[in-house]
Amino acid sequence: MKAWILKVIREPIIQFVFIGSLLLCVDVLRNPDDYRVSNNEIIVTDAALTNFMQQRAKIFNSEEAIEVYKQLTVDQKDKLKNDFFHQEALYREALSNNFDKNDPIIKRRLVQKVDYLSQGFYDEVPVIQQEELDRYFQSYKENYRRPALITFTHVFLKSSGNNASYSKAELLLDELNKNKVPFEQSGLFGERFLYNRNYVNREMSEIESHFGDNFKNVIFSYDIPSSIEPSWLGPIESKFGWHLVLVTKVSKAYIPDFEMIESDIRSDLYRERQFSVKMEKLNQIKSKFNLVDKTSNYD
Amino acid sequence: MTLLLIASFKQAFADEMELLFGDTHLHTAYSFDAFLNDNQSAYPDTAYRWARGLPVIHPYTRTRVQINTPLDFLVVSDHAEYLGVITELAKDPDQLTDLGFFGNLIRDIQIQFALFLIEIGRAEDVFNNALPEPASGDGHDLVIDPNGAIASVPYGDVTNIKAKVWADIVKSAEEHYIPGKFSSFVGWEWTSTPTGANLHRVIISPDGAEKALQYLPYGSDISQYPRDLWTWLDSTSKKFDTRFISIPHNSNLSKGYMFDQTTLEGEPFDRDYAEQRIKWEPIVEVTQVKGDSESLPDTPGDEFSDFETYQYYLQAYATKYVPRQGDYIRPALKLGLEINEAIGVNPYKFGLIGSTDSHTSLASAEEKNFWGKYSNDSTPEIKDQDIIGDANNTGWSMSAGGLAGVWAKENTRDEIYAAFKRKEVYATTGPRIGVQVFAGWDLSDITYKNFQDLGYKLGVPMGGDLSSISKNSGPSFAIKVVKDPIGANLDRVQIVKGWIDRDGKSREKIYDVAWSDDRDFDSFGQLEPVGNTVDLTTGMHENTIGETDFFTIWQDPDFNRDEPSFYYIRALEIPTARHSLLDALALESDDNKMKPYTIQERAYTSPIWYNP
Repeated sequence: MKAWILKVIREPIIQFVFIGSLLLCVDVLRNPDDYRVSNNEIIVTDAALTNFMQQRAKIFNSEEAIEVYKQLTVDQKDKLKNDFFHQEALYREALSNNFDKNDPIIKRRLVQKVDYLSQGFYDEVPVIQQEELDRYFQSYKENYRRPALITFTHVFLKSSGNNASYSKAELLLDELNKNKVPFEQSGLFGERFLYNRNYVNREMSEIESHFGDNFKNVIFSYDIPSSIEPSWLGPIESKFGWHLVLVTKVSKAYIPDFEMIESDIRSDLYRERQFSVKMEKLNQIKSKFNLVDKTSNYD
Repeated sequence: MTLLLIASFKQAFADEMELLFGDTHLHTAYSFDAFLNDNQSAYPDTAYRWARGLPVIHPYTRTRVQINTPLDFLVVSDHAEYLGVITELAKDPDQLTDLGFFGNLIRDIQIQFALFLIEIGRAEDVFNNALPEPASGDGHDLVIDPNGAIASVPYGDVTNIKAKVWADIVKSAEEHYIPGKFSSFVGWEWTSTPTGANLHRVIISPDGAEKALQYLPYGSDISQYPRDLWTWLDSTSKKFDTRFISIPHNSNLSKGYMFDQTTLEGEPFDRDYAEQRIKWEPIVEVTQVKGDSESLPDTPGDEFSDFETYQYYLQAYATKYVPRQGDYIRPALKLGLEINEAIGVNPYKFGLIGSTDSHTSLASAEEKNFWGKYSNDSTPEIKDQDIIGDANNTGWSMSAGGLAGVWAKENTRDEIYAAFKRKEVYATTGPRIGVQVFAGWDLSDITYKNFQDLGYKLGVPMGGDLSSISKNSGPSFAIKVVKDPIGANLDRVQIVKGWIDRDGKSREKIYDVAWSDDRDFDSFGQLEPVGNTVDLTTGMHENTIGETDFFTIWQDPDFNRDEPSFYYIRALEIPTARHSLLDALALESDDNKMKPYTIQERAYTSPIWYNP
């Protein structure tokens, strides 16, 4: 044998490749099915079908899906197999025809996948320190402002277009105060109003939509008398007539104390951090590419 | 006879407020899906004529049909998306604008293909092709999902067609408005369904042609985000000095998105979002042809949940129905209390109505006179087929309901609109069950006779607020319920209470407060069932069980003055024949697809809230 052949045979890498090939041949002979590669065969297994069913039915729990799969009747399984085969066959045909290229929906889906996988997962977001929370709250205080709210009941008198209804309202106001009429008895007086009688913890836009702008401005500017006895106020004019009101609570718009809303602030800052992590990752991806601008506005 | 019965029914409540029944959600041949599912001839005029009790021609069977008891009001609410466009193109394809050679060519091919399918009776295929596919992505915001975009229709600018159709809708509403007798409203449906999650709203305006003709209905083809709809309502109402309300429906098919804990974009609720929502959406349509959305089907301790559960998403093909908290109004009312604690505004402080969502132009909520969801499932022999996409459902999956009960001073657009805004309205699943309730702190003087007079003076009606009071005994509820004058007796009246307990957790409990036939409670504390008199061989029931009416005053025994709560009434009829039993008898068939055969119809009132 020629010396160079012997030299090659003695090379460990050649021996390694030879032994490896031999083992592969033995395995191919013993398990030919595992190596049968054909573009025309679609292999269906229990796992593949369960997975297919999960995707269709959006069953996210795998154990539950396996249970559901086991309970399917023969007909149902056949239908599932047919659907699977249908999807797989068409999918392969589409791939072989390059239909996945230049398809806007597939493009969007792939982009969304990268976008989703780039989001800041729990262990990637840096732990939030107390002073960072304070700083965040100071910067975004306005976002936490609570609305002005009001609680009142009212007695309504329809406007008759002259001073008579106003005078009537004034007289009734005296009577309400003289008799110390409580909140829950307001319904015993006045006329039926188009909307509600009691308004409890309602905010400005709703009061405005029921009574109009003028009424809203007047009522929200009231300082409630501190007396324990009911103190009826008015008459206030709305677009419908005159109202005598008993206001029991006006809470001005306010920003809650930090301690009251700490958990909200924490989750908001966490979401912001998560977003930063994601943007950083997306920017890293984008930094691999260069934008070559050849636009010319069709000149 | 019917009129006499109704007169005596109205007498039971006689007083200054009148009880009106109507439908706020009805489609005609101007809705693309109604047209493509074989309603190709019944327009708004037919819808109003039917609602007012006149005989009309059925758009599919061509027979004469008539409602048994006329409605007091109706909103024709066709889909704003391509409003009437397909209907008009089928009549005259030359109404389109020029899109250039290739644009016209592509469009003509599409239209010719659609017209061909309509011609050969396969119009529903055109509709099914437009249905969304389920989400393929993982994000919360379904609009930006790859399957979230609405099907594009390359028709070019169709504003002229929409304007023509809208003018006809407005004209019909104006012609049929008879103040004091019948109220017709202009309205439309905003049909946002990203990836099959139903976020639909019906928009109603109480104003007439002068204002309605200044704008065109806002559709989800402009934006699928509810916030954009509210912004449009806000700016349009200011610009044209007009009024709107928006009524969400089919939350049961929203995949948890209708009453979610965040916005559709996935952001936590902020004050602005919550305020806008409750300003524009004071009421919710809780029951209709595509099922009931009151309580989760498996609500523990509620044997009357899982009622008319509709399990088929609006999708191109079926996926498993998964009921979620955000799909049903009871968990939503509870969530509203929780959000109120967190941000100071309750976005889910809504009242309740029912409506049909029928697409046949016939607002049919009667089991014995039910004309299907679409025209192509309107007769017994054609019900055994997929309705809406490849859904695995049938015409018997549909529910013959519901209606909106409204307490108003008179039958006018303004009064009905005001009742919606103050939430003095309620839902029924079809029958005209009369329900009125007042809540207050001392209602002991209220009797059957002075019910309405004293009720309004001493208490607040459904939809109202109770304020805190310096005593610990619970609020009282004066309740009157009267059976449908031509319908079945009543089984019981319940109060559903939801509240936030001292640990900040929301809870719920159902109280039986009045019931028929002197029944007892079993060892589990449950009232014995009322029984069932339906003869499955004839479909008839006997009013030998149940009660004709109830009057009771109930006080909350578990009241805690520090806990925010809501209370609403649920009143149940005795079992009666479901429309599917009548079909089974007519077809002389007994198929599981038609079951259940009996139904316990019911009414849900708007809640009354207690705020500490």
